[in-house]
Amino acid sequence: MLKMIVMRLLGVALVLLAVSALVFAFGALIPGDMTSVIVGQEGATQEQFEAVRQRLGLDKPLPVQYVNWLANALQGDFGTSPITGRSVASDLVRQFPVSLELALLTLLVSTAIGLPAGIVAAVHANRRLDVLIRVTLLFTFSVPIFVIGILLLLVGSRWAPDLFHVSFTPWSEDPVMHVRSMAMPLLTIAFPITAMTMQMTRASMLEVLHAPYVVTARAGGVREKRIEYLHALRNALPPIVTFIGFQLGILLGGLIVVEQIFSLPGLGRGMLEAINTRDYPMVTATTLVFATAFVIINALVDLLYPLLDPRQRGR
Amino acid sequence: MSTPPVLRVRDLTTRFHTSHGTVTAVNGVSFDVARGETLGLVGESGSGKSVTAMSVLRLVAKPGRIVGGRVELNGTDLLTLNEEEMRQRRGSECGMVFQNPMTALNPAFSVGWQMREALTAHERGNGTAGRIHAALADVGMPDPERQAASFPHQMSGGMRQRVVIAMGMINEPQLLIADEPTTALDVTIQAQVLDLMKNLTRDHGTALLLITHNMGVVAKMCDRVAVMYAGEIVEEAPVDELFGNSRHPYTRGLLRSIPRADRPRQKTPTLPGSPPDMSRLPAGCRFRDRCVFADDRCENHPDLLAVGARHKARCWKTQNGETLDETALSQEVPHGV
Ligand SMILES: Nc1ncnc2c1ncn2[C@@H]1O[C@H](COP(=O)(O)OP(=O)(O)OP(=O)(O)O)[C@@H](O)[C@H]1O
Ligand SMILES: [Mg+2]
Repeated sequence: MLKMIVMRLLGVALVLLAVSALVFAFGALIPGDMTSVIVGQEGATQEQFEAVRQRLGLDKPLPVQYVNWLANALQGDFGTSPITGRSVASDLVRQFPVSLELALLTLLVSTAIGLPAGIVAAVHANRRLDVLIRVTLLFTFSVPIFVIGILLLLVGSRWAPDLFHVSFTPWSEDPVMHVRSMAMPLLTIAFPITAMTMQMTRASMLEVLHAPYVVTARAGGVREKRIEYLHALRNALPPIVTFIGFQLGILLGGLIVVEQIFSLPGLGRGMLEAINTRDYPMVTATTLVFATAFVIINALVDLLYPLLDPRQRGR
Repeated sequence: MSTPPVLRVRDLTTRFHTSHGTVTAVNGVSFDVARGETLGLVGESGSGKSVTAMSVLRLVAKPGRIVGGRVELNGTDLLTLNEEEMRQRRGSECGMVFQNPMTALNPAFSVGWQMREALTAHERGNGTAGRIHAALADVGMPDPERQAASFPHQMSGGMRQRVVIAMGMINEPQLLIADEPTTALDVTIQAQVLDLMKNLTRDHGTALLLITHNMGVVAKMCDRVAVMYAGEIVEEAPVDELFGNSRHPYTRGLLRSIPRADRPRQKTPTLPGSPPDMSRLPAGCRFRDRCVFADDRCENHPDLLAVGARHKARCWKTQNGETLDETALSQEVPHGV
């Protein structure tokens, strides 16, 4: 078991290394580079241009640039933004908690609603309760996030301004206001994610509800509720957990939209801004953070799997 | 026989309503199984054996529905019970052994846990661990304590089937239903598992309803045999009588298609033709199209009637005392594979 964990961690480290190389390569592939941003498009002489390139190390071959960048990144130094003049790392430190909070809250809410809803829907497959659950949740799923967000924004600011405080307030400033300012972004993104969790749970449950071992249990006189919520559910769980982990990845993408709509100072919005202003160090750093988060989440789910499925454990 | 049978099935009829039409998979089936007796239920694939077994425990899943008849277990008609009363009888009065031990056990739980489920579904008691270990020992599992802690995927098919049998027997039911319990096992293991079931049911006086399409298994295990064809029982007789003096052309065909040691497997004649489409059954005798003896009488549907002591057949010819002339049968073209 310990050996397996060590092997997995080594694997994760390798994947992260590959990810960092990819992220760096993409940054290098984007036409133009930071120099033009700093120096400005016009009026700069070739000498000025070269001087800046040299200062930034952009005249060195790409592999050397990568090693330097990685060495700095590992020490938490992602350089200085030529746009804002601030250190990229300090921006990330400010943005990351906002996004993480939103992502985790979303996952919590969507799982707390979607998982039980999916189980109940499967148990009542094709009967009234199932249809009700599916119609309700899938309706919200079929509406794009930005539409839900804007609708909530309109409704919230108009009829319930007290419930939904619109502009972002950090927790440290005013906890109550903070919760209010997070409520609408959370609702917006939680709807579709809940629908997905429900749908996945239902499908996974339906698959096991007709398994031969369920018939065995029934033939043995085990109570129906126990069969559904213990014998079957236990087998439906592993793919659901994997899926929820996978959703975190999707969520990261969703954050870009939601943070934009509600002006939340998170990673997603930061990334979009950085792309718009061609803030190269910021874009690469944010991409790296997103990718790293994705890899780590998947690794955690992988480690969880043997706990959920005995067949994955050693003999 | 003065003691009432453990299981008495009368006119059991089970239908499936599908988009292709209605299929009466089990049509007016009647049989008894007495204490300590083994009744074999044989027939080709699709003849309704499994649906019959599932109907006895009311486990037929949608779109199937039991539409009529009686299923008396220990004198109570199961078809009149509510769902909870029925649940209490499953496993405690009637155990079940399924065909495929690779899928019949839950992969997520240990063997001991699953046996405890079967036990505690009917009683809360102390000493469950002891009883589980004893049940595992009864089916010949070495080191029951260790086996109880292991998961199904850690066991061989034969071992898993022993577990399934132990689970089926753990509440000491009066009736055990086994649906092709050895079909999925290696040939060498098949005999061991059959011996085990034979010994267990004999020691406990359990009535056994054994479903199979292997006539060799029938010869080894059964006291009486009921032969099913297209949802109906077409012949029922004590095992020696059936092998020596079968009174239905379909049974004759089944018996002739047993592989024998004295001839190569390829020469074994198979029954020509195939069973009728269950959603479009012909009027009259259902075996008529494949029967070398068929004549005008077979346009009408025959009943299952006595053709001897404890011997019934659903055939106009034998019901009128005529014999089934074997020379007619041997003119069949052998369908070798
Ligand atoms: N779920 C179902 N939906 C529709 N029809 C069904 C269903 N299950 C069974 N049937 C019908 O019932 C008939 C009998 O099926 P059954 O499983 O009892 O056959 P069997 O004798 O056990 O065959 P085998 O030897 O292959 O196990 C089938 O031919 C089929 O027409
Ligand atoms: Mg069957």
